[in-house]
Amino acid sequence: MSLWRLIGREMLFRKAGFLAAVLCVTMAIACLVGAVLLLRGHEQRTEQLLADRERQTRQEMQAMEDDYRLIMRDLGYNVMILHADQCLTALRVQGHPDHTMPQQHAHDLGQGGIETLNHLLPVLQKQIHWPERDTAIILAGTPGQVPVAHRTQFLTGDGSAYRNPIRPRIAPGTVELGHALARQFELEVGDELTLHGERFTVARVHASQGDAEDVMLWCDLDTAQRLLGLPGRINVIFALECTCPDTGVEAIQADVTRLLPATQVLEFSSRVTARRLARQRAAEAHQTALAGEIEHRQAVASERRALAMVLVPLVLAGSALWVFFLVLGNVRARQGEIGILRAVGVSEPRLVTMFLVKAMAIGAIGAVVGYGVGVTAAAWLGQGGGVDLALLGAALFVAVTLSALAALGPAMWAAAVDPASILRET
Amino acid sequence: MNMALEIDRLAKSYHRSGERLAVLREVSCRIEPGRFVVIHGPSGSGKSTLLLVAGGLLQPDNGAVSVAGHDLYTMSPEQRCRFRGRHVGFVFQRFHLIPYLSVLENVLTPTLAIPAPAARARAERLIEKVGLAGRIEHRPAELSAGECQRVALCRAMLHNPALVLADEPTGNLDEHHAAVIIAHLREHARRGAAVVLATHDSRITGDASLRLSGGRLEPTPAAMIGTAI
Repeated sequence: MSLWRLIGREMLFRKAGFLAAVLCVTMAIACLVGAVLLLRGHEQRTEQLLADRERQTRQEMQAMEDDYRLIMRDLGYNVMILHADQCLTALRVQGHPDHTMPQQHAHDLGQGGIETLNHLLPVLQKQIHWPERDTAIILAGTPGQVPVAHRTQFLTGDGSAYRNPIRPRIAPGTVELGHALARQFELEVGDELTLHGERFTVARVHASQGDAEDVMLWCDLDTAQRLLGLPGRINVIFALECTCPDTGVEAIQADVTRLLPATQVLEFSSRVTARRLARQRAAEAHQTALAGEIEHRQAVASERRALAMVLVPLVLAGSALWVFFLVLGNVRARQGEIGILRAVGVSEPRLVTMFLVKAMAIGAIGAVVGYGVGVTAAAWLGQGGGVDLALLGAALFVAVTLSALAALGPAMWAAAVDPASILRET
Repeated sequence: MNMALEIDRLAKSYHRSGERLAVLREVSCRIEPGRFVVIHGPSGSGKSTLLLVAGGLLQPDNGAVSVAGHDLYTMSPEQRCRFRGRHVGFVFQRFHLIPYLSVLENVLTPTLAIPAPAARARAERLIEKVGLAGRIEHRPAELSAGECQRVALCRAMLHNPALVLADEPTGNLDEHHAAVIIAHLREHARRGAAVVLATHDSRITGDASLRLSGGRLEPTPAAMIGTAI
């Protein structure tokens, strides 16, 4: 006859009390497991939601970047790189710079790893007299855009040119006319004209800009340098500010002078600046909204956690109290049995063990069933998940420990009961 | 030769409602192995108390109790518990069978304290001997009072104790079943154990008969093999 057999038989004999105790532990563990899974699920959902939001924000920002890049490109260049000694007043008055610099500067920028600029356009501009038409014009020559070598995503396969340049290359023997100039001399695309004895075909007439551009005559750089007697020289490099987050005129200035010390940078398009700022504002708004969402969900999680921290211990304590009274009732119902067991020589520690083992068995069964109920309830509430052995182990530990502690008092009482008084009275 | 039971100037009193009630006063007796001793006395005379003290279940106020030469109350509670399980058998008026165990399992309950390899075979022999071989898997609720007492008797005798203490074992039984129980107890005594039976039934007699009255043990005119000193 073993103690285990005795415990097993007794549990089967007093099924109602046993099942009531198991039910009690089951409910408590189900609450514990359910609370843990729901909190965990909420945190996972929060993380997922925030990850989705962040991804969405990134996508929107990326789309906005692309939009602004295209918009800015369509708006044209917004940065001028001039010789360091260029007087800006003179520039405003004349409509073009008067200090020249080596044509090589543009290539130095393109190959030097400039980060803040793109679409470099070296230009030589100078006001001249057009003897054949007897008028003053600004002659502008450009070799076309110089590639920024590391921005391969915008370049052709061999990296020698832009796939979509802001200003296409001007073929030798052709010119492009500002709007005012074309209208004044009634020139159209395909017409021929003579400049300083050389014949050119009109390849393009620019739209009206309302500034010095309207009286410009554009040709390729070699022609301009030859006509102006300035071989190998340019006097401005137009560029497009990149859409990177921290780009500003100071950053561009620093970036450019790192490569070309004897230059200055002028940002001249306020519309582009405004849009860049708007873009930054939009990004900040996204970040603020995201932070608000994080804060809100953290607050909800914190409230739930606080509630669980109160409810779960209460349920566990209630369960322990219930187990305590059930074991106490069990001890009272088994007084005669305790008396005879003491009479046949069963020791006090063995009696305590008998009640504790039963309580621990109740705890273990309640833990397993409670875990199942908790997981099912959580799944029903949309917080499904596989078997979490760590959580099951924790539930077992809590339930078994709690049941044993709850049963300890009644078990000690059972062992301390005077068998003589029981056997005499019953 | 060691006495199976030796009681020396035993005193025991209870305190109820602030009053001290002396149940046993200077009780002394010696019982040799193999004797069947009957203690007579009216209800409330202290017979049960005497048996509980004699079996090591109830600490006396004064005096000493030795079973098979071992002084019970100089032992630690744990030692006394084990000694009782090995050397003392109890039979009670109300049987005290465990309701959810079968006849065989009830007889084997002493092995919870003192495991014995051959206990099962001995239990089956004892059950067969008391005529319950066909009821071995039955539970107490399925047995008559006489059968229950026979099961209790087998339980008391499982470890072949040197001393069997029977407290009104026939109190709930009819004459036939009472006679059967008494016969089994006598048989156990014949095999060398001392059997002390407490009863208010004056028709039951043993090798010696003692009377507990006024908290004192007095010899009756019967044979004095069990001796009240």
